[in-house]
Amino acid sequence: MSKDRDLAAAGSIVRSRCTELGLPMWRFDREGEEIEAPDYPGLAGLWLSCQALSCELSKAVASWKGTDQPPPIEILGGCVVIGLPDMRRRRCVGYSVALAISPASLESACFRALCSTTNLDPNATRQALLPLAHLDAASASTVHRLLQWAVSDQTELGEARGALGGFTNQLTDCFETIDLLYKLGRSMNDITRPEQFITKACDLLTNATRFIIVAAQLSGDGRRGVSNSDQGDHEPILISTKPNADSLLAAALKSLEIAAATGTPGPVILNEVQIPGLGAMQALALPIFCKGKPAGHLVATGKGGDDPQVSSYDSQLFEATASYIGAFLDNSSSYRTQRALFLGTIEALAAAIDAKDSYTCGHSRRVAMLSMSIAQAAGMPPEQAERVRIAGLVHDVGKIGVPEAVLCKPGRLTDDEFAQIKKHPEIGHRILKDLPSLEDVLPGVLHHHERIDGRGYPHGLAGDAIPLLARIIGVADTFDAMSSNRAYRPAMPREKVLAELQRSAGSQLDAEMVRAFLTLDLTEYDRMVAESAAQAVAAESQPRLAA
Amino acid sequence: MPNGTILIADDEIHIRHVVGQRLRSAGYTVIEAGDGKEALELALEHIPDMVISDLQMPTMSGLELCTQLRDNASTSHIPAILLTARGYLIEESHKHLTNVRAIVAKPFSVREILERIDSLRVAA
Repeated sequence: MSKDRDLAAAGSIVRSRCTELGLPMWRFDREGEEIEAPDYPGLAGLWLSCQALSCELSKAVASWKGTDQPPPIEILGGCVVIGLPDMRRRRCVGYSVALAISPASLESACFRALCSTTNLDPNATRQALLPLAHLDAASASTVHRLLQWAVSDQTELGEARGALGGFTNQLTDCFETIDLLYKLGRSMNDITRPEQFITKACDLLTNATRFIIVAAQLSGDGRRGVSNSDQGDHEPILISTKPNADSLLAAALKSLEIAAATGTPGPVILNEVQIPGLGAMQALALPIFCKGKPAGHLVATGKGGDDPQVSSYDSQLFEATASYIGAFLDNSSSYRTQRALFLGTIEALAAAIDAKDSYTCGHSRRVAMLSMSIAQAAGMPPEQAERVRIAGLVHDVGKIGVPEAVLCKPGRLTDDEFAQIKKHPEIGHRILKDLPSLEDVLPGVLHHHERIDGRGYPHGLAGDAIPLLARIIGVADTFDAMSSNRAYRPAMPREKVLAELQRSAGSQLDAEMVRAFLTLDLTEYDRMVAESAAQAVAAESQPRLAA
Repeated sequence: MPNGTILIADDEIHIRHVVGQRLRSAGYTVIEAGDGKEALELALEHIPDMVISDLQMPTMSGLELCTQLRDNASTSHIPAILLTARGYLIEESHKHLTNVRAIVAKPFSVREILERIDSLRVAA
């Protein structure tokens, strides 16, 4: 449409220039029907708009028969009719018509005849027309050619303008696409939060397109990719920036389900989907793949603006975003698998250490849980609290390097035996130091037996020189040790343990972390203790196999 | 729409087209300049309501243009948006000498530029 507008503008430019040159201008359709007549004052105007002249011109136009190169036609004894085609989509739809009036023609019999049929005084009319009569027949033919060139140049220019407008629109869309992809890429930095990424993707799409509802429906691997729980993962979930997307998209998702069941997975445009409050709309759905399998759809509907139809620009943006979401889910699911393997290995390692000594059964897990709770109570962010938990799990790994005879010795330890026990933080540090994923928990392993007053081991660090991680584990470790039966003494009652912790605050233990500990609810801890005790009893009662 | 006049300065004609087309259809009067010097002359002549300028241009950089606009009494009030290549850093000390209110990296979202213009005009 804008192309036609540009072409119409080209025609009107040529017409106004002809008028400026003193050439009266008409517009005719290709059959010779007059559309527009020149507007001149006085006698000149009356003569130019008279019926008889219009008839002559109409006959000339009709003789061109729609050609886009109309030849000049002489009328009225010396006037030349110059036709300039009006082109639309490479078709001549009519003509702009200029009349070159020669001075000689105003003296002709034809001119006088025309004046008399129109009841105009020939002499006065001639005087009125003289300023317009400046082309003889030969110059008229040159002007004719010049004007035809001008028209074809203007037409080309108009077409080029239309094309440029189209290119500019496409370039604008490309910029929009690149901008969206760039922002999507930047949002992919936190692999642990797929839901946050998908919400961001929906938000970016809502801004970059005219759809008011954008949502991702995830099922199967896609569903598992965003949710930790394995329960109820048969039901797909919907992620959207619109809070009531579920109800808005109900009909679209239903149609999508039917379409997905019957066809191969690919982009789907659903027509006439009922959207509450908006009526029947088009909906666009792009499949999301995770690990090569269908994992859900990216769905959009409620397109506003001038064009409610889904455009190729829309599909392109949504298709790209759906691939990004798929890639993100792939990565995040691989990360989760790796992470689960890592944590499982660490827990197995912790259980192996604890199993060396029946008295410390479950000790590492309990210290891990208590340490994390202290960190949370002290206001540390979730990732840090998780780091503290892992440090708690592995803090005693070094006990692997201490002989069981020493670890489980019921009586008093000799100086030499105690020296062996005191080596476990350094042994643990040595064992774990080459594992990159455990790098940031090493200080907790190495320093969990340091004391605030500087009388601990292995380095005799004091106060804040002891890493916070180690100070937290110190409190949890001490509490669990005092609360459990040991080879050399029975468990202490809870009140006594708590009193002892408070007494040690500021000398052995970090006072602030002890305060944080004292706010904890110990129900979960007691449950873990009972569980470990039950496991220990079960292990004891199993018949021993002969060697 | 009683919108104002915006001067776009960029030596890349397609950038002027992309921004200009959207601005015109949003109702703005658009003046285009192909380099910094031409932009300065046009700004002094027309006193636009806002300037959108590329940073790297022949004859005068966008930053130099904005500094001169700020230094000239008749144009010192005009807010500017600077377009740069991605990752291009502009020192705060330079920015302080101008009326640059926003820096947008190319290729940009034209929709976002329009939003920024609207918010700058509301703030003005």
